[in-house]
Amino acid sequence: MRKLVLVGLFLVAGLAFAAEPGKILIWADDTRAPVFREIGKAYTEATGIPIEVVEIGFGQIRDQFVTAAPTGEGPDIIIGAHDWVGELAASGLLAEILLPPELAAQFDPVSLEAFVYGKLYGLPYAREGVGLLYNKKLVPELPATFEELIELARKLTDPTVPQYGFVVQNPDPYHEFPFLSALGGYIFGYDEEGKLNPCDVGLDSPGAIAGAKILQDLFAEGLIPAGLDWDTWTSLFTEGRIAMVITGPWFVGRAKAAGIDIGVGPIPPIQGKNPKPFVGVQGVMVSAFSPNLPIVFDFLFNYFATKETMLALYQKDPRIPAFLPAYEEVAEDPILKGFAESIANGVPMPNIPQMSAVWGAWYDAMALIGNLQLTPEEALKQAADNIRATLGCK
Amino acid sequence: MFRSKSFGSVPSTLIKVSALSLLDAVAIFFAVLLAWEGSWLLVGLIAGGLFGLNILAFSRRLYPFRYLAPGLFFMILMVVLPLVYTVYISFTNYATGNILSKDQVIGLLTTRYYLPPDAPTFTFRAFGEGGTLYALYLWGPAGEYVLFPDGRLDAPSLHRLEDLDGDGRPDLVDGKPALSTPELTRFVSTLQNLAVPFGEGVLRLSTLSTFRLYAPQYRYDPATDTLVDLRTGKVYRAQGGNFVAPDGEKLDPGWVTFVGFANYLRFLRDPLYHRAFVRVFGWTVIWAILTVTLSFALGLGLAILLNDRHLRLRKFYRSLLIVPYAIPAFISILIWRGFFNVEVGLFNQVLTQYFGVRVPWLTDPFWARFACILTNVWLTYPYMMLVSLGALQSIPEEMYEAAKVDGATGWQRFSRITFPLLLISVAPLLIGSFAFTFNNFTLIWLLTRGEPVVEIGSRAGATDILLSYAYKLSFQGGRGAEYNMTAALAVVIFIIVALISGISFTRTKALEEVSRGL
Repeated sequence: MRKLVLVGLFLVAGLAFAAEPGKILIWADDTRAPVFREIGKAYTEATGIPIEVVEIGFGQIRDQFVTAAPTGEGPDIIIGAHDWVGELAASGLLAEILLPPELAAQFDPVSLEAFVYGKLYGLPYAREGVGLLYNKKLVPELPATFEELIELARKLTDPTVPQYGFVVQNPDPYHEFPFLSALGGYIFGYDEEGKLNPCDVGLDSPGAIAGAKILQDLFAEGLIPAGLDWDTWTSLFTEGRIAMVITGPWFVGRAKAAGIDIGVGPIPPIQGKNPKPFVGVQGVMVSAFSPNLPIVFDFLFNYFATKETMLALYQKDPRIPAFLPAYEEVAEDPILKGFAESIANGVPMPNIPQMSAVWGAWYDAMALIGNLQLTPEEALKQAADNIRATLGCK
Repeated sequence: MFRSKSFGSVPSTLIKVSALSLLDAVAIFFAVLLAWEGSWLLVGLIAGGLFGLNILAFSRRLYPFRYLAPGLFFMILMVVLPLVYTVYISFTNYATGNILSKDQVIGLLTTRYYLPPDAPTFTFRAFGEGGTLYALYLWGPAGEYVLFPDGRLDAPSLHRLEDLDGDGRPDLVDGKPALSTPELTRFVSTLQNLAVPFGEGVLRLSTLSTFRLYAPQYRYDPATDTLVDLRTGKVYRAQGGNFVAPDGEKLDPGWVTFVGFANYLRFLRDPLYHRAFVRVFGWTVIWAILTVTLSFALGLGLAILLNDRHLRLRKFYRSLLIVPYAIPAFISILIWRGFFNVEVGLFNQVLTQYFGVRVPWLTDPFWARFACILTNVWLTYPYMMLVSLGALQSIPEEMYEAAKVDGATGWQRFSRITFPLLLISVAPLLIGSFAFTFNNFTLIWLLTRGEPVVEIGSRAGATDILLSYAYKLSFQGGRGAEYNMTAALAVVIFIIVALISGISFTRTKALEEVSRGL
């Protein structure tokens, strides 16, 4: 029934929301729509080409685009997250973006890579991911290596208080991924066309196992409590009982509100190698069915990929800009800079739909690694085999 | 005023007739729409329902049914139909990847096209005037054609082509001039939707100046029920809801098909499901028995204490002991979850401070199960206490006096008089509690979500009961939604609960006692 209503709404909406030649139609959610209206106005004044921005809930943009685009009723541009790219591009709904090299150099490379599915299918504007957030009262200066970090954490940890030197939320594959990736672990490998290959599962690669071993030793030692969930560690941190934690920008507001003097930096190198957190990227994608491709690209290259637009987007949605000139402008904020440095080492979260098959088994494996029931080899091997079976790989 | 015995007053009859005819009109409208789409089952249902409704409204003999009909209708709609549908789904492979019908799948696959490397290319020029697109003129190594926006493909000889500048290409088609590229961009979406059958494949817009011949990727052969990949020559056989190649490769999407008892057998044969099912079933039974027994024992004990006339402040204690029952479970379960927190929870703080131990509540399978039972006993003992209190008061005092005279000890009085008499009225309630606890999704989901994890990829945690396992199968996890497995599990749960209820209705004569007492 809900579906029927949606379809009905969509049909009604579709009449007014369809792309037409000579006019750029943009679908954006309520935070981004005003910014695009603003730059749309400037573009219309300069070129006479009207731009219409339609506000659609972020969660619905992708679903509606999938049904609307092939019938010619979709927009020219959508604003969305990079992990839509695999599904949309594989269905042939996105237009390749031939970014001029001098413009490409102004984007953060990891963020640009996030929109690649064989070819480039989107332009990023904001990125986010986890870094090492610390309480400055307990940790005046971040250790230079992970080994030093652990030494420091041992001194600060006393579970009977409780007080912890260094924690990571667990079981939680997203936050624990930097351990797995530091020594070369990965989720999916790339095929020769530069698309992610869902049958090349790297969860049980030697690097991932070695990284998980380091993590498991920390659980075994009692340095990081197993089963530490978001509610627990956030309340401990705001009470000043946690020195360092792997988390993202979403926790900053709460830590500051609790009066904790915080700092942020990249997770220090493990055995000399940088941990690579997952990076999530927001950006624009272009419909393959747009009747206005030349104008759309003119708009994107000359009016969207500019410092002013990117800063305006930052004002509305204060995430780390993916456009470097805009980033440099706001990089004085040490916390934003800390996260940016951390995710500069990062890898984009896989942008293919097969990723959904990974989380469940991976979560199970991290849980059993955390409470020491399985060795990392056993747990990650079983999880990877389960994922391969789920995806129908041999 | 004119009054008819069978129709009531004129205004009410008018209202009835007009409301009914409006309803009929709407129903007939939808029935026609549905018939147009070929949904004959729904048409039949609507027609039958409408017929019945009209008879009910006018027949005096069926007058009592007017009051029964809504109840019956909703029972069929909300109980019988879901049940039938669940049973039906449990015998199919309805899950992510197999939700379309076979015809839909064949339709989807046979309209998939690809661009062969040596595909013929046609360059085109568009013609039209006054803001309309009249036709395209296509030329290339494979010939020359005139293509109309409605998909009609004509030989050039059927139309008047005029070459004004002598470059060998027409400049006027049927008198219409060529369109410039900017004019053409207005029609790009029309052109993109064109798929003109041509030779083996279809002609489609490739760039703003060319059409190319896209070849179909698959051809379906109804005689052998096979699908051939024309690109690789691979033959896929229709087998169990998918087209499957000899080397085991399955084509997505698949279709819904009957699989017999395969889903049920999977709980017996597929190790991942089998182990999960055995574990979950075992825990569900233990959980239900232990909780009900412990909670009844506690409730009964307290009831006996409170029933003692020598106890002072009885009413005060009674009110206090009922408190857990009065707080909404949603709140108290979450509070308990906080108590069990390993780092900051109340229990561990006390245990660490006074005994120096830290219990891994909620992360260790044993302690997580312990936590579930403890919480549920706390939540349910007041109910048991109230029930027992009521039952105790119905036991005649003379029996105890007689027992005393006969020299019975306190234990004998309890085991020979109190307990058997109590059980008469309480047993059906205990069985009801058992069935309820068996399916107490709320407590498990709010307290542990079925965790901790026991086995990778099985989706059944240490504290998952059958119902929460069914929920996880249908809405969580890697393979997407496994509605078929959920339905099979739901049928199993239904059978178990039906058995429990059956026993409670037939085997305990106690029920009669209760109904007599009422």
